[in-house]
Amino acid sequence: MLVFLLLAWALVAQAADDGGTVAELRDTPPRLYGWHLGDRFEREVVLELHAPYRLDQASLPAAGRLTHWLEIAAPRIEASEGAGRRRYRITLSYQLMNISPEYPDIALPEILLRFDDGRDQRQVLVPGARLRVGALTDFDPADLGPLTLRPAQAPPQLALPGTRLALAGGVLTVALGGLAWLRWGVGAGKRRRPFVALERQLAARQAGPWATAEYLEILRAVHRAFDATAGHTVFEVTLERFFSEHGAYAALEREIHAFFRHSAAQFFRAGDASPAYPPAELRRLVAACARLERAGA
Amino acid sequence: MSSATRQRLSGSDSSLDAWREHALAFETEIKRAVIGQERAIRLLLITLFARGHALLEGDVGVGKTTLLRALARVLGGDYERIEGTVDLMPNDLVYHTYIDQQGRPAVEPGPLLKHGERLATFFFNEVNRARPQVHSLLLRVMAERSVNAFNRDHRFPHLQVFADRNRVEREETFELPAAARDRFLMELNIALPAARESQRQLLADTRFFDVDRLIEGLEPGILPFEELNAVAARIQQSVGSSPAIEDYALDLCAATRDPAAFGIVLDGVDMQRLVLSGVSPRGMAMLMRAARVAAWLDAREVLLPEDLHAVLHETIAHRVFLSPVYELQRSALVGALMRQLVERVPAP
Repeated sequence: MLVFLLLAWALVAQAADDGGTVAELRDTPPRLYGWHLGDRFEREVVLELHAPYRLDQASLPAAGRLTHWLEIAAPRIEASEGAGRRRYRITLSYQLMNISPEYPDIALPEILLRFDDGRDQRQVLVPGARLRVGALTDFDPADLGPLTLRPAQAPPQLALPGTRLALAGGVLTVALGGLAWLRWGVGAGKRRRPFVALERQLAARQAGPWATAEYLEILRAVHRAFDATAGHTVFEVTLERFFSEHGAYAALEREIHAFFRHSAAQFFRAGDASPAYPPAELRRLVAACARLERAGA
Repeated sequence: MSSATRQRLSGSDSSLDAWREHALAFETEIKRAVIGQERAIRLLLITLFARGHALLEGDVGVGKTTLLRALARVLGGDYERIEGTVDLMPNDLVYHTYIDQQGRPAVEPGPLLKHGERLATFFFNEVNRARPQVHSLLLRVMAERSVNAFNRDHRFPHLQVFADRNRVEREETFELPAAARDRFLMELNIALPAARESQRQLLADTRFFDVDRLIEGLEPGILPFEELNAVAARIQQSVGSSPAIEDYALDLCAATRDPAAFGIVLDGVDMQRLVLSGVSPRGMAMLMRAARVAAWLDAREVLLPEDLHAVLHETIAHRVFLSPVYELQRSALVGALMRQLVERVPAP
């Protein structure tokens, strides 16, 4: 498209020669697209005349507002002579002063150059052009070929035998049922009531005395019940936080402190002379905490 | 504290109880010059008796340098300070050359060497402005307390390195390599004192306007620094650790490597991808070492979970390396991870 326009431009300019007095007329136009408000661009016209013809510089456009869209600076002219010819290099500087979304094509006016030899006056036309404002490239809606998007393809259907479908449905049902059981069923109750669960576990054990390993395992289980109740690990030094978050347990503050103190002695203070926490006391503490859980603490 | 008391402390037969009294007096003396930084001072005291190195990080003007100058003054021993700059080279720490009065070239020991074995506190200001070559030398000095120069090894048996970096400016800085960070026992965050009264004192009390006078007003040399190595070893031997507390410490460290396995969840974070590398074996040992000193300062001979908690963040947070996608949120994520370690890892 662009090549075509440039070719046409050159042809028109050549065709405007008048009576063989013009040895050469070469017009280098600005690009024809992608201009924005305020842009400056130049157009260069080279005119070679056979002597004794001279360019009438008054035929060049004067500096100032040229059209509604364009302003032009004073033309720069470089003149030279040689081999029986006069050569003029004319540089025209334009600035785009106005644009409108409704008129994206701006007319670059034609120029009628006059020249004479003192007696005979002639003229040659440098044709106008149209400049496109806005788009960086010349847009041709008919030329979208490779950019055209493919329509979405429907995914192929998977051929599932009925038995596999039934199996998948069964697994899904069991999984959903399991989740519901954990969320709303008996499992949820156990998860939220760790001391109740622990009380049942202790009831299943013999009354005591317990072997050391079993005793330590039970102490750990009580710690995990406190952790599960609090939602975080509970330490002896963070019991105040536990009581502030779970006020009902403050009624057992003395017993709980005693448990943590004895537990620390067992686990961390090797060789500590503190007596082991009596199994009966431990059962009473767990039972009391379980009662608080049942009461909704 | 009188000099007579200090003389009684000197000698290997001094009891650890007497040393603890002096350690607490040391802490009190520093608090005269640095207010609102009680936790940082306690952690520096732990660093001192754990014979580790510490990296201080914080905003500009929060008192990092004042804190370290106060520590050096009250500790005694020789003190050296160097400023990290982009053109600092390793040789600048070891020696410097000049033309003497007779016009001949001369070589003098640099900041590291000139104090010999009396060098107790080496303060590296703005360490992240120094280039990696300097970090590399620092690495050896911190790990081995020695440096090779002029065809022989120079040893600094009492040396502790305290470095600081401000966290505001990152231009023209060089992040410390993982190996260098791992050699710091602790990385402390020095923040603006939280209490308004402390801020008011810093604002209005003219005593804090002249730092040089403030530091000179502290009693020097409260602790005989030459004996700290021996005392530190005795402290480590005197504080016992049960299998249960060792298991707990192991679990804490394991949780830095695989937090999801301990039920740790952070909002908006893929816990499987969060951590590139967790606490190293050296970090685990340093955690226990620092926790034992914390227990000793609390006058206990056994290690409890709260001793580990007291030093947990500062001892292991800088040893956790995050995936690059999370590294930009490091400060918030590692802080949350450390809190979750305490919340989620069960004990006993």
